[in-house]
Amino acid sequence: MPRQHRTRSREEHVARFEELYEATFRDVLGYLLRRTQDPEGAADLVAEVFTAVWSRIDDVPSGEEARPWMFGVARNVLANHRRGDRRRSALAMRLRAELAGVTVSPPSPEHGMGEIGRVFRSLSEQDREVLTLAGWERLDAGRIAVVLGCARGTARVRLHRARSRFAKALRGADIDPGVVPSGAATSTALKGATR
Amino acid sequence: MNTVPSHRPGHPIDRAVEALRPTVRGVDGIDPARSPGARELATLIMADPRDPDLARRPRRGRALWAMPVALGVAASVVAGTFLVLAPDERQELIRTLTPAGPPVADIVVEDGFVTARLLRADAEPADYRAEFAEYGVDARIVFEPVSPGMVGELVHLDTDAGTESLEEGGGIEVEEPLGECSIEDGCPAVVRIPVGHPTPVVIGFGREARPDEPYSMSQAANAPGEPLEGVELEGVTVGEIRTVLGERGLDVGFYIAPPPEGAEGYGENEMAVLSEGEVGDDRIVVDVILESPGGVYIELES
Repeated sequence: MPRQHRTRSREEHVARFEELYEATFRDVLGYLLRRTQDPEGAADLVAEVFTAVWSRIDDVPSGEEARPWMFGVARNVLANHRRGDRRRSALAMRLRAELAGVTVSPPSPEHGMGEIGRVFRSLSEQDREVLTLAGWERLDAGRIAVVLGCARGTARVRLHRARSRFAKALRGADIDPGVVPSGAATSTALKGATR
Repeated sequence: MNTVPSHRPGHPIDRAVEALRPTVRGVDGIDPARSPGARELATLIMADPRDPDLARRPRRGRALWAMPVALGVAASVVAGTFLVLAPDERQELIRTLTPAGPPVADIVVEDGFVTARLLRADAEPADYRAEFAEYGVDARIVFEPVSPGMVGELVHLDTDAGTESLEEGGGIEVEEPLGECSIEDGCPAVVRIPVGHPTPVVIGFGREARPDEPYSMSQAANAPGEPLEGVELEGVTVGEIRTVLGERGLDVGFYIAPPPEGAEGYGENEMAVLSEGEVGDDRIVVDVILESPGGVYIELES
């Protein structure tokens, strides 16, 4: 159902924004870092996400739906960023410097992850997106629906199909999809400051 | 095959994807409540008043642009995307970046049908089409502003074969939410389309009109559920109907009547349009047509 808005005071807007900022900042930043592997760029993107959220603060759902909704904004910001040129935000100047020390490490090619990663990258972007929302952000189909802005049933179908296609592709590469290699994500760090 | 036992919970495929998750290190030290960079970002974002009316004032962009300079940031840095845009462009960008809203429908496949429980009457037909496309059918849902007695009714069922009745609609079934369909509260209709339905489908439901929004469809003003339910319209005088309309809070926008005999400038079957002051109380009413919430027009005898 469409949300009903009541008029909030500036103080209430600030309080709501602060609450969201503190509760989701790291999650949103992590979402962006995992997908860009670019700490400095992620600072600019996180600034865009929270600027958009501030502009639509009345639309942010309450409770547990807020986090996937924020991922939905981050997803759109990321897509927008990929379509356009790199933009550097003056808002994120100091944050960008702080993030220079952050590292993002892709999974280790040892333990069979290189092959699994290769198979994963052969999937469509849509399949990879829904699978990473489940596997990286640990969202269920209902929360994935909030991120993607689609019906819960549709998200369920997309997730089911993506899992099936990944399982089939793994079997095609002679990898048993029922087991998971351990010790992933221990490879050489990608230093944001030196990229 | 590789066979390494796993202790991670969840679906096995999700565990495989989880194992591909890049590891982020160093971000724990950035506390959004205390870190200088994160605090500065929050402060600068909240410096924007948010109010669209204020955002239209040209000085806003300059004020925000100036703030990093005041904070000692190098002047050569390009300003944030939002701040260099015109207000309208900015609103459009924000609209595209934030999720459109709750899902438009809950859809399942059951008993050979793609069954959609509609949720939102404010969604675009394309939004519904995108949802249905996931289930292999090409269907759009439209919502037409209608008079109160038609709210929730099926008002369109169009396929490539043309406009059809439900009986001819290729097995499509609907449950009409009679009396319950509005932008504010949603439209709990149910639509069932056979799996694999071969042609595009457009299904329309009547929804409540907004204040002053013209109806795209209406029925007899005295039909059940309509504002003049139970009132005899044909043959009454304008004076009588003016009294009834006044009691029910309805305004007459205009009158139509056959043009005076011998009048020039009218096409065949074209009616003359008359204003309130041009119509006496003794004229005879043929019909009252619902035009918008609170508004009607009246057809007169010659």
